[in-house]
Amino acid sequence: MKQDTYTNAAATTVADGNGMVKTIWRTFWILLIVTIVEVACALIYPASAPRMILNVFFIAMSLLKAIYIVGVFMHLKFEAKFLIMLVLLPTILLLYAVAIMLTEGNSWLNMQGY
Amino acid sequence: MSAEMTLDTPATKNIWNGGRSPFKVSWGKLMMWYFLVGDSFSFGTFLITYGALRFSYDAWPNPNDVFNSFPFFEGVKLPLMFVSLMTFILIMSSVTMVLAVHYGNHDKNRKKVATWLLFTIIGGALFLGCQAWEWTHLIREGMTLHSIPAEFYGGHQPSYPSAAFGWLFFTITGFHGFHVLIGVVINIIIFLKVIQGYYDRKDSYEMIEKIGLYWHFVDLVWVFVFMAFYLL
Repeated sequence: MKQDTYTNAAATTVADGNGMVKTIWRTFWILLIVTIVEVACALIYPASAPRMILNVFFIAMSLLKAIYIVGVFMHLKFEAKFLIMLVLLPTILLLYAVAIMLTEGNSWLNMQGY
Repeated sequence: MSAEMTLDTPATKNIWNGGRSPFKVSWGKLMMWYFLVGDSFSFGTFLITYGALRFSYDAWPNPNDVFNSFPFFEGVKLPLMFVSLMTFILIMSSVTMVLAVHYGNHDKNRKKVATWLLFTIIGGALFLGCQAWEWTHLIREGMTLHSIPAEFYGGHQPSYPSAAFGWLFFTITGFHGFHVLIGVVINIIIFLKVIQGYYDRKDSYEMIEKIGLYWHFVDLVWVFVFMAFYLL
């Protein structure tokens, strides 16, 4: 029973009643509109234009959606500082792996024909 | 002297002195966070493998040519429309889940929790149904674990077609779909407990919050699966 006191305290400090419900629906609209914009860009982007700009846009928008899902839906924004660090710091290792594996993948392409 | 000093220092001064959680969450929620951080590495590994293999090919299937079908619209090319519907269903089910969590934690309102949980279960089941249709369709088009039809490249087969595209697609979306399935099953169990009044007797709806964390994580993973397979 003692452990439960943490949760309820955290939940009530954030927003009482309709405040949180409003935040939830606002987040829903942001996620929906960002997704619609992403799909629209994927469909209308001219094939002749540089693909890199579009890809950077997609990655930025996905990270934005991730921030809203983790921050609001998973409530992390309102948690204790050490819990936020506990969750976010290990993901740096994933960024490291992305950088190193994409570099390696690119070098496999260059090795073709040798 | 110094020993006495330490004993006299109140534990509240330093959060790491013991006696309370530095993370200010219950044991169950903390363990769910640990699991999700670990699980993000499973999916991270999958998607990083996808990235490395994709970078090693000159040509890659064009998402607009791969995912362009919609149920009941045979023969009509509707690129990305079906996956947009799937994404909408998943976002919507995340909203219904977070509303269930909210009405459990804030109001302890059994009826509202049960209603929103039911909507979440329906959303999850719909998503799984959509995925089953999409897999069936792609398999009928000729996609296997190790080969894909030339139409996926927009008509012209490259000299080095990707052998791994099917493996990557079926394992990554399959692993994600498996997570959704587990989420639906746990949601059904918790829904039954809610309507029986189990959490009222316990006077805590924290269990809804824990499965909620898991459910939103599945939605979060979909954001990146969607980006990798359907957008980039």
